[in-house]
Amino acid sequence: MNADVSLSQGLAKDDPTLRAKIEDFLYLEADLLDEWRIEEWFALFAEGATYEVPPTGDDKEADPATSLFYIADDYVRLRERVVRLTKKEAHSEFPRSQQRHMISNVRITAMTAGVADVTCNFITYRAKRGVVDTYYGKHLYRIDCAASPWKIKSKRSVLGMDMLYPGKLTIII
Amino acid sequence: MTTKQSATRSALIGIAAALAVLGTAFLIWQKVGPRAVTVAAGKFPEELVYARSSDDIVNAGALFTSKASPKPLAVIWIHGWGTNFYSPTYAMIGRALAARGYTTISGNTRMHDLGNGHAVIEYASPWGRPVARWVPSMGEDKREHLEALRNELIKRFGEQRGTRIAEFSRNMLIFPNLVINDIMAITVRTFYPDAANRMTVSAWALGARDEDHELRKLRLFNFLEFLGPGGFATPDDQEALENCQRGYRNQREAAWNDISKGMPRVGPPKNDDEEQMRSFWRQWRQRMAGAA
Repeated sequence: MNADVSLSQGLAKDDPTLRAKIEDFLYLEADLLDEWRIEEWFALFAEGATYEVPPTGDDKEADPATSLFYIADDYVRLRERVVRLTKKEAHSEFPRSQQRHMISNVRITAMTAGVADVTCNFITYRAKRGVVDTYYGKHLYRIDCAASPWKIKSKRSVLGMDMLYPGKLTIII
Repeated sequence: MTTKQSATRSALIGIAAALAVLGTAFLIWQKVGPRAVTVAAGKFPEELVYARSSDDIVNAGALFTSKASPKPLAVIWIHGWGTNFYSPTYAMIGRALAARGYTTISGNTRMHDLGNGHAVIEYASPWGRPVARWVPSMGEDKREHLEALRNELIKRFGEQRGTRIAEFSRNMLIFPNLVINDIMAITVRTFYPDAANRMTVSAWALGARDEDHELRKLRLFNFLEFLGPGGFATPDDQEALENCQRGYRNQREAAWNDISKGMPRVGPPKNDDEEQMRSFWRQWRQRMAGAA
């Protein structure tokens, strides 16, 4: 890989410290979700960012313009989702569920002008009233590392399950 | 186009509880027993008419215009529950009055049973409808296209029916487990109880053949705002159902389910009365008794 075109703030795709920094960033994100600090979580997103969960069985290239996703939020609707989740009228999450977001297999697949494409595996557990729901799959991130602080430009959570067994998707996975 | 969303529910329900989630409400009246009637054709102009109540319920009726020595008196006939303006008896009364010189309009009381446990409500709604109802949140750039679609509907089906297709929303139950909600998008649902504590719900989104790319995008975006496992409403309905199911575990101590809301009401039921659930179980009982 040609480091010249991907250098930004001293960060290159092959920079051995970059993955550790990105992992720290993703662990912070996971912790904010675990702790229901959801407004702070939303603040990690850049203006104009998107958050998507494609339907199970669709490939990674699925397009919300032609395929019916579980979630396909633009920035405005993502903000509304966060606002909704803070209200007690969101009955599915009031009282709130308990969650743990696990992340592994972090890889940087591209770095262009300070913007990193990152993939990682995830398992998210959600517990409420004695029922534990498990969501797992792969996150695809685009993270603007040139911004300060870093901002998420897009997050797509591709479910690894063949079906949405919990029957609902009321949390950020 | 059809797109399938599968959702298997972790802990659910009896069918009565499932009905609670089918949109906001379906009003089902007990089926009126069939009778043999001979219907004669009308001699004067007849047309279907629609009215919208102050709380935005659309209702249908029939207008029988008298051409034979019309009298300076018209009859407005709004009948009670359990029948329809188009049932033979009421149509014949309208025709008989028209023949005697009385222009007659006959209408239903708000929502109506479609018979055999099927039911529908129709209402004006605040949301946009990708079929042909533009609202500002869709963006100014979509306005012209949606208005063209609306004009096309009116050209094809006439002012009245075209407007109905474009403007009004419908939640329909086909007894016992098919639901067609023509709301901010069209969604078709089936629900199958797999076990006493488990139910599988499948939902499909319908769109028009040869749909314009931008409109498909808009329709799918519109769908997700409210509907589906990650929507802003459907999961909360599920939560309510799961909580009902938790309550039903108590059935050894309390072997009944209180669905009496709205029972003493005089006049048409309201959307949030529980008439739809009582009616569902009446139909269920009738069928089970017939099978026994």
